[in-house]
Amino acid sequence: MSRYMRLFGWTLALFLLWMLFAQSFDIQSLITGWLVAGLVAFVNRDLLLSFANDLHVSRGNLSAWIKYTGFLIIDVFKASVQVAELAFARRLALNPQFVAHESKLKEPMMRVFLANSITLTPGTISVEAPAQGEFVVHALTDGAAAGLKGWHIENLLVEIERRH
Amino acid sequence: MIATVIGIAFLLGGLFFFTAGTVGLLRFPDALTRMHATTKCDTLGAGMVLVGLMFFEGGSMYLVLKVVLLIVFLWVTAPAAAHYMARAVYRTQGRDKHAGGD
Amino acid sequence: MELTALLVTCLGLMLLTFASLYRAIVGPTPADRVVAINVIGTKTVVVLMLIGYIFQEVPYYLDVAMVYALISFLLTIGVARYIERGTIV
Repeated sequence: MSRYMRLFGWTLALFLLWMLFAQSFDIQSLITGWLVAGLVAFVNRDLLLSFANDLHVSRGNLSAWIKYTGFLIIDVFKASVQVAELAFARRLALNPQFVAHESKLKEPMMRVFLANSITLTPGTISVEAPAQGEFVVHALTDGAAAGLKGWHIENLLVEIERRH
Repeated sequence: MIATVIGIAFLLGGLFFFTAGTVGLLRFPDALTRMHATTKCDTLGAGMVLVGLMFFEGGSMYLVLKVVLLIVFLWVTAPAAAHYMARAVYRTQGRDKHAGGD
Repeated sequence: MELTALLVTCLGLMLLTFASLYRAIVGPTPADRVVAINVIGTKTVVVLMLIGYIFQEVPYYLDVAMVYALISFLLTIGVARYIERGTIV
């Protein structure tokens, strides 16, 4: 697909978003929306053109993506329950620490996904997430720090990257 | 009727997680640990309350779509904001624990 | 019953907002304050949605909530950048 076709697709997507927000179908709103969508797509053309490619969604790994989303929601639930347990405990049983974490992921966008997943799941927050090199993670307890090795969500992301 | 009960359950669950997050914010010892409490519990709490609202009447298809958009936005931005804050704290205070950075 | 649940959640969230305000005022470091204000922002978004459902004016409050979520995110990024580098731009 050529550059212009892809920019046109983005303009269409932005126009649909505009329609979702505006909720009116009169001629003035349609014309304004089309112009604004085109302008936004034009100004952000470099970002938008590389974004779809960076996102790593293809027919081969769609099932892995769905699995990843499901596991992420379950893990966020577990994380919140764990924080609730820690917060309501009679005595605070915390051992905050920084941990270095080496990741097998190569693509920058997949590393962003890994950093966001680390932040949302039990007991860990990503602190440094560089494009290459190792992550620095802040862990709330010893168990959370140990659980980062061979973590199932990271394995899923590796699988997504491999199948793309 | 069933929808209303499910919606109310979601609302109260969300309120519980918000409470846990706030207690963590008030009790935990330093900024990074407080961030742990708020990021996870508030993200899940907001998601649960908004999902619960979708079960109530008075919403058209448009509104449901927009609420879903709002939930996705909150779920994407909350960890990003927390990561950025944590990095700022780490780079200004925690330099002695790990050599490196730039 | 529906309305009661909405009111209870709304009032509970407002009380929690005031509790978070303690950390925003007292919090020893700037980072603590920003975390507290971020939390207050998320709660405000949810409270706006609840108020919309209570008054049966969802579309208007939904738009306000979305813009508030955007601004709250930008605020956090701006202050984090200021803490890290000493300037915003």
